[in-house]
Amino acid sequence: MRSRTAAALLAAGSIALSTTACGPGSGPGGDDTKVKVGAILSMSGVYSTLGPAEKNAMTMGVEELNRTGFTVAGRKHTLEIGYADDKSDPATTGVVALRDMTQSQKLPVIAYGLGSATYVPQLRRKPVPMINILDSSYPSVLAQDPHLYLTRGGSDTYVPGCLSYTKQKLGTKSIAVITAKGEPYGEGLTQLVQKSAQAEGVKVVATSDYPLGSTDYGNAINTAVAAKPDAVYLSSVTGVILPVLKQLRQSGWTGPVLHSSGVNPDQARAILGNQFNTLMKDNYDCAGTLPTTSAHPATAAFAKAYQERWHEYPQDLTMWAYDYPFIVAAAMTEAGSTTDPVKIDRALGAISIPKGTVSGWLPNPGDLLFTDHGARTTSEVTTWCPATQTIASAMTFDHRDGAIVDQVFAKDACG
Amino acid sequence: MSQVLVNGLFLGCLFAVVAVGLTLVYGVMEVPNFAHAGVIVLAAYATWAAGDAGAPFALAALAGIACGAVVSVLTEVLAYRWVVDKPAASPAVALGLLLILQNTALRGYGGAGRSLDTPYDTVLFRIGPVTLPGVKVALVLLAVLSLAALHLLLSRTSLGRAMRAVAQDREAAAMLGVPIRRQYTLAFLIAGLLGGVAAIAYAPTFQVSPYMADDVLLSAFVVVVLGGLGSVRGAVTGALVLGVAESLGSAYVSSAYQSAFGFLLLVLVLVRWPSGLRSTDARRVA
Repeated sequence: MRSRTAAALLAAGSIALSTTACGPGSGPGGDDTKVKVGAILSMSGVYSTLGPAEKNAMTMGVEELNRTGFTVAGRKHTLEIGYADDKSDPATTGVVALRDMTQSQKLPVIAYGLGSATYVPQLRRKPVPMINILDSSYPSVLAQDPHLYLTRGGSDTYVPGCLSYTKQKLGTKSIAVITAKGEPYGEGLTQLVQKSAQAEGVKVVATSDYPLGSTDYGNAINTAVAAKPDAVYLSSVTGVILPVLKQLRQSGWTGPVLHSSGVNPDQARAILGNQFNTLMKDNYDCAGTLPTTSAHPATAAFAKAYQERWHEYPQDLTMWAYDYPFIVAAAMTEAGSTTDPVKIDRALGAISIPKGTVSGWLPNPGDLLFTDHGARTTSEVTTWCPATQTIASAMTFDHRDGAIVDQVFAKDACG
Repeated sequence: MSQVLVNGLFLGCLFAVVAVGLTLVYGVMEVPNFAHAGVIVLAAYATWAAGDAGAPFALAALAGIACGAVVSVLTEVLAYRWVVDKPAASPAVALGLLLILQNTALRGYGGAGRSLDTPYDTVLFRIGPVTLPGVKVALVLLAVLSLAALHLLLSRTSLGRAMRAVAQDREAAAMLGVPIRRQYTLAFLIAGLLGGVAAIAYAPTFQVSPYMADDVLLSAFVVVVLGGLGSVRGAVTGALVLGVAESLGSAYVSSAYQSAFGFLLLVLVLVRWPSGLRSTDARRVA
């Protein structure tokens, strides 16, 4: 009898612990002027460098928006975001969260970071606009479904700058690429690096892969380093490439390392440990413009406020996450509805850059925020500065009609 | 080629330390202990937390190994013990425990990866064309030392003989006066200590995170089946064979399918030797 009681208590404890750890978030608010929308973020798992920062920024955005609220059909509203953790596994946990948000909770708009393709079948059953605040994968996620929106430029807008910069400033003539196999962003980056290298006359001397989720990259690293490249490009996101970088440096590689992960100094310190400054030396990151290096006053002010509040370095995705509530509010105002996903979807294609946003978007024709469901931002190459143990802008640029334009090099990036 | 074989050795040693813990528990209790990955995770976090609090690495490592032992024993005392006569229930309990342990780490430390720093992080040995990172050399040394200690325990002590007796025939061992429950606890204690060793050997090459051991656990189960369920020697042999096979496959076919080579090897071995590389008629833990 005692054993049964103990087993029952253990089972109850297990369920309670698991459900608290896996729960999708709070229930709907009781205030009838409060509008609830959703956000599916990677709060844990291999992409967990992304979700917490996105949630922090969204929290700030919601607070700022709710200071004055927003008006829909003559009525004042405030916004609330219900969060779910996809555990870096959109195909299972993420899809379950989306079904819950759209079918059970009937939330009219969802923000998300990764996993566009896995959400498409559910979007076909229950169409709602989904605003991607992160995924610049190549080919573009926007090709997956007409209900998807992207708040940033695709990786085809910044990877070419990476090769251009390293050729011009580092004299790179050959490159090896190490890719996380089965990770769409990384695989897209590798395709783009190969195309851009060809365009720049840089030789790709080796490409090697490792299965996503693996923890020992020795074989992929050996293949890359054995080809004696001038530089190594690591294709994937921060949480995936930093352990590879660590093993790459541990294997004796001291040359330049390029990537497009958006790693910030806090993440480098956390994932690489006490040796982070040494490991990050000769490190170049090519991605969207960072809040801290942006010349845009609103973006810079956001960067300062974010750092003061959360005591961490804001990644590029924090700008887009911060702006999510403002985009939703503008679309609902334009649509005249807080509940109709079809009207809100249509309105998203008609709004201009909303007031209060900080992403510093480049204007699209007709002053619209989204053209063909995509917003545009400038791109940047950053470099690691060992003396200050942080990153600095080395080059900003834009990408139009397949060419790099408006290149601006920092005179002395690390000052 | 030599670098490829050395990489295979590194992988094999890691698989061996994890797999021996699994096979030991299976041999004594017939439990597929998926929760072993959670034990490794909590041991790694304990090491990281102690280091973060200012403890020297050696002390932090001991704290991590002790944590692994305690958590592993707790899984036996609080969960597995109650289903020992219900073999169908043990896989479900094991998976449930894994979720609990991983979510405990997730709640306690968050989902972001953390670095486990060691004094030998920057050490690099070069022997001809072969490079040997200090963290991986430490992994091999720890694996060899811990497995040698286990071998001595199992073959030269009365505790080890009792454990082997339970593994061979539980009822007969009980009739001869061997305390069965104590052997269960001892098996989990040893598995937990090995889990702690795996954590401190392996985390410095990767990172500490709630899901850090999933991939390794999968490979370790391949090793356990490959070597013959319940066989410690088989697990060590299987681990080295798997490590080298994955490394050779990565180097000469494609590193993208590193794990797949392990499963391919498993299928080939099981077709030829259905009970694994070192099968005998009786279950054993030596």
